[in-house]
Amino acid sequence: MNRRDFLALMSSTAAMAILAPGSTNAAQSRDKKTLVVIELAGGNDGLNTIVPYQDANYRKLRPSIAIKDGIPISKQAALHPALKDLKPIFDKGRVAIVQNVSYPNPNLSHFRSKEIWQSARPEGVSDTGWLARYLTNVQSKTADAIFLGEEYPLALTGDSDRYLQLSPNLSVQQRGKLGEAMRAVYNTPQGSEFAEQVRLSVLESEAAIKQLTKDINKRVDDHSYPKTAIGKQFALVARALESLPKVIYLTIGGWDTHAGQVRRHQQLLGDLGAGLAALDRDIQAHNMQKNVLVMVQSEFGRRPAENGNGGTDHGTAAPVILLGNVRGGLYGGSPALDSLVQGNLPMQVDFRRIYAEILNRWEGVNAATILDQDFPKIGIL
Amino acid sequence: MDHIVQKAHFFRRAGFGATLDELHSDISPEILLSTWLNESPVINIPAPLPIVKKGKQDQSREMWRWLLKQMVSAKNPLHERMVNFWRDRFVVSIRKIGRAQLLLDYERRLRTYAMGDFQELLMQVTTSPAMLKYLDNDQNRAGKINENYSREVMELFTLGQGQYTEKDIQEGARALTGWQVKLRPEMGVADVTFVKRRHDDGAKNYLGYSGKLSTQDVVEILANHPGTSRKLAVDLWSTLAYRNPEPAIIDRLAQVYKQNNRSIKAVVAAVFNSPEFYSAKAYRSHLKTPLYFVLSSLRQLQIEADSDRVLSGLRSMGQVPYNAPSVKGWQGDQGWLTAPSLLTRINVAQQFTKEYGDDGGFKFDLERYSAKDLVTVLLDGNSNRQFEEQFTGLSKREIAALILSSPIYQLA
Repeated sequence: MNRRDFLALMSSTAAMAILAPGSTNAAQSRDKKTLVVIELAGGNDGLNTIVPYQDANYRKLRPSIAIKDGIPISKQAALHPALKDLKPIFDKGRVAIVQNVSYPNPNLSHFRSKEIWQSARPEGVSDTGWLARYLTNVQSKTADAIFLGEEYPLALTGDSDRYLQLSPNLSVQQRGKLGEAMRAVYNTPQGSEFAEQVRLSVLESEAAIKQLTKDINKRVDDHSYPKTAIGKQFALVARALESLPKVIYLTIGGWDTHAGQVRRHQQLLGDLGAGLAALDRDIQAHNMQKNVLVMVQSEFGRRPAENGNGGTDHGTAAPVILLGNVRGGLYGGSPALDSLVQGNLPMQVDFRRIYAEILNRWEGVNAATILDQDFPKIGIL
Repeated sequence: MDHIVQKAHFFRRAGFGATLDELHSDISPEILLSTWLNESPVINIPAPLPIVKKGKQDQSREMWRWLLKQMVSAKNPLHERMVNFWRDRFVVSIRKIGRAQLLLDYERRLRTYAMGDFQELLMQVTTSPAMLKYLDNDQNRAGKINENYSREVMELFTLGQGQYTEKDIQEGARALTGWQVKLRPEMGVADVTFVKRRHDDGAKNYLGYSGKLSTQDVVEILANHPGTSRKLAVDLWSTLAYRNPEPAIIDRLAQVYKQNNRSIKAVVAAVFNSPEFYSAKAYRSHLKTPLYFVLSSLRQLQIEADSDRVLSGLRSMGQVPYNAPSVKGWQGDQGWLTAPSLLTRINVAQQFTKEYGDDGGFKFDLERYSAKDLVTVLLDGNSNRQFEEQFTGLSKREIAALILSSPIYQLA
């Protein structure tokens, strides 16, 4: 059996690993750590997420979309009211918010900027993801990372095979006679070895999905996840945590709010805040509060000045939110709305400093081997 | 292999699978091969649409509609298959270059040179607006070197890792300077110009050659490098016959490449004419990619498809054309043994064969086929009692869906 064949078999057994019901216990998981990366794809409007509510420039730049009823968390910053569920967690010191995060010479294209965040290489070749390089560095197996979403991200693309992927909306409709026939066919061992692998992968994936759907619905009830598509994705994250992977990567789309931003953004943030809060309850209930670190990021923030359609165009620096065993508080200074660069926010914190601190202090690997150089720490961990 | 099996295997590798008429026809694979190899390609790229600020997505959808139709109903399946091979190898992504128009231009280049001299193909790709933008060689200029293309052209497109040094990458990048891409929005095209003052015309040392090397020199050196002929031999054999070819096969194909002045056609002919091509080792030895699964289902059953729905199926399976996750392209066969890739096929198979009435969707003319025909066209006539027992009580549409979803149909 060559390496590739072995990995292929691995990935079906890995599906079984996720399926394995709640095997987690505190003793087993004490020294296991999982990094959960949540990507808000499309460019989240940072200024309406963590609101500079005392800054007159903010209201001037956003006459129709400025948030007026934010929940203050410092003398300068307030949470969007839709993020109210994060407030108590912030107060407990389990949330660190780093503001004004970007990279030198920011790029305003979705693709390029995602590529930069996911590869952690703002210049030069970016054909591998930073998480894939980390996972290779610690000799991970296929099941050590799980991607939840549809289009497999560069962050987890490396020189080895793919990590696990689960689409949150996956289901197989097999009813009636055709469903019966299909089951009969899939219950028959195949003559060719490769066809047999296909058969087993399908059976295992199907069983896993069925079990997952059941678990997720129960979880949504038990820990009051939002009963929305995004809420269920958070419940899926919590379920995936039980197999103790090193990395979980979740992509949530819809943040590219060029028009009619107010309502859409409120819904998205509502789901995000309630989802994170439920996830935190769930993590605590499983006594994993020291084992899970959640990072919420987006490829860029949005333009400080609103556009003509009640929305905002592509911008640069934005906040990154970390939840878990962190040194809670606000980092990175306030958005410098009085000194915009070509209409956009100047960067205060290179995102690679956050990655580096996670790698050095949370994962315990040398960040320079993953990021090509080391970066000064921020003090969030 | 018996007659039908042999022909079905040939069509799966030279194209995306045979139709029932093709399987029953008297024309042998040998004749088909020589016809397809020697035909000059018919290129019917749609007229370019003006490049506009809004409506980019509609333009991509339009390109995709054309491309899907082209891939399913190509008159020369082998040519189409080779275009697909080059598209998978010379990766560019619409997510970075943004404009469907640049991809139409790219398609024209791949289609014109798919079977020609590899050196010309490589030059066409290197100087295409799509590739210049995708791997940043349009940013690469004297004094402001960008090594992206210089690295990937060696690592992925020609030599493969370990055959060059970092110094070669730097020197190659200098030789590759000077190209500029300018959009002509109203014409829907992009002009590529060579700007002399952007070119580094100093002396370079590159892969053992020295002098005032240019892009042409880089392309010529790479296309004639023994590493390229071997990598191409491995990749073509792996795609068209089976993975991990024996060293003797690689030597043989590399030799063909060299003796025929880098002729792609000659190497392709050598693959199909090798005795190993029809061996048990080759038969159904590939897992279909999501795209292959879709194309083979639609083509073999002559299903008329709604391209938006096909695209959404491909999105769920994780393989939208021109959307590879990185310049390395899609992963190989076994990387597709995933839940999204496999489970979605079962749903897609049912969509393809459903009755839609006026609702659009897919048009599957089931009058053409008996249950036996379906077994012939989709399973090379190989079935067994146990499998066929499951047909009892199913409509013909359902039988088609069942076969398309079966484990063996996922193999090519």
